[in-house]
Amino acid sequence: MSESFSPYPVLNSNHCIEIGYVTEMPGFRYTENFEEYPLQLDVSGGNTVNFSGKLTDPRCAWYPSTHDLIFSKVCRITSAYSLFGKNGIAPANAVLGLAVRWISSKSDERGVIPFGEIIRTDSVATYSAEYRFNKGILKGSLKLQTVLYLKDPGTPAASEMYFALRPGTILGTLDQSEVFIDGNGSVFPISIVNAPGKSLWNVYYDETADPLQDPFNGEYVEIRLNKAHPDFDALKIETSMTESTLFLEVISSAMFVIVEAAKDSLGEDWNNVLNGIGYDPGSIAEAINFFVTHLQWDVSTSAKLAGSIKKFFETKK
Amino acid sequence: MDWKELSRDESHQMYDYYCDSDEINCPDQYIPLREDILLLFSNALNRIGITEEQISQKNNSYQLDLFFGIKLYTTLNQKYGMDVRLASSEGVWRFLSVCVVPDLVAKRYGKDHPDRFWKKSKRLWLRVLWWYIYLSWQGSEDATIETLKENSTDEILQLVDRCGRGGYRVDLYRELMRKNGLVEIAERRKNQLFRKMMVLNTARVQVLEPELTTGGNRGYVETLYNYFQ
Repeated sequence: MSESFSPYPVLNSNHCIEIGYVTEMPGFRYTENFEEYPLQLDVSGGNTVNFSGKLTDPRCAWYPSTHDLIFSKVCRITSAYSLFGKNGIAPANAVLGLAVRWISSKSDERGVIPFGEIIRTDSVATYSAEYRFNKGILKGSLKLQTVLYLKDPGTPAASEMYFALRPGTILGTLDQSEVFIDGNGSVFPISIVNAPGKSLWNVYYDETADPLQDPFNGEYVEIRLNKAHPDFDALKIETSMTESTLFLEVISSAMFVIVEAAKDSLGEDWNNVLNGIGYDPGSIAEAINFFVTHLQWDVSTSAKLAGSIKKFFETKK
Repeated sequence: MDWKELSRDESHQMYDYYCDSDEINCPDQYIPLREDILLLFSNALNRIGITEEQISQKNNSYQLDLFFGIKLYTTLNQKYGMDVRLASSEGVWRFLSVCVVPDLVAKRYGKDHPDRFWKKSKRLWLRVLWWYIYLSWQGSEDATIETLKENSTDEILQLVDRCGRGGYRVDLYRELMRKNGLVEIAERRKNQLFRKMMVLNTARVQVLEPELTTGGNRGYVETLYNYFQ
């Protein structure tokens, strides 16, 4: 489990309750021939402050390379008082800002959309954000984070110098989401090959890859199943792989090979990765961190790793 | 334009084929694209006033990267519909590098640099040139050349290699390059100013968003610059 330390106060769950933060699901639409059309957001999991979903167009006309994408969201804060001064995140007469940070990691772009100001005396207030992404920019998924930042520290008292005082400092995340705009989202890298005379499966791991940056996809890491092998049918690719003991043995062994290969290539960065530090979103290292922190794989020894992976997949039967 | 993408395995094979045979295996439908790029390359050499044999001399390699790169960027965008989505597809650049114009990559780096042909996605020469110009764009070809003309290949590396977590902050990078272009060349070289600004930026964006600072990206870049004065 990763831990981080901030040298200044940042937003916590109590603040979110005290300020009464409420947000609506974001809206998405696009323009065609000067007319605007809504896109449908199909949410696949989570709630309004942390969800993932997929955009679809009822007209089947929208495509991110040929159309823009207009994002909008509305949120509300009931009382801003507790964010300021003692036990808050900014000096008493500071100005906080609201912004949406967006990341389209598959097209290597990110940006920020400022959309509101908050001062200590604000009571019930509604904030609206809207932003147009030009065509040809977004790819894969759009990650959105609503953040609070320090817009102006004001004139902090001597007793308030422990707050973050540099304008632009991010003080916390109010909500986050990931919206898939094209492609299949996250697909585990397994491929079928035709290699007569070769083994039933093997792992491709690109040893020239930089696991901190390069993505966890078939270009760098892949489990390859050989359809020319006599036992291929026993994997039950066409029906239910999770009912196939052979498939679970193969996938367990393959994942063991992948984690060990990543560990070798990460070298001194291995511990940072386990602590959730220093890698790009979607990278091989992030996948490894996910296996360890979310799936509870034990990487302390090779034997424990093999055992915990096998146990994990057996519970999926 | 129907952009073809090549996997790493395919591009590795095509690279080996090119290195062994010296033959260019450009599919027919991409011949006009190849001819366009060849013309851009020779025009860039003419503009700099050098021959192919002189590419590796002095600062010629950077001058070639700049003048060829900017025409490659505008031609691919305007004539062939290249955009950020396509430009972030490594398979497209691998195809261009090993099937369409492998001879140009070889003229710039030699055949013994597989990283520049197919092996390292962030090092593919044509990809690097496109992103260098995109991240430095100042609104027009002339303004961009004016900003970049005194740079070196080190600025290309510093800019394009430092993608950061999640992706490039494009407006920030353009502002950084604009500022770098205004600094006296002697000061830049003496202090490795751009490299230092990029390193400091990498540290600062862990806790703040440049665009949200007082003065926005321009004000933020000024504070980076002033830090080293």
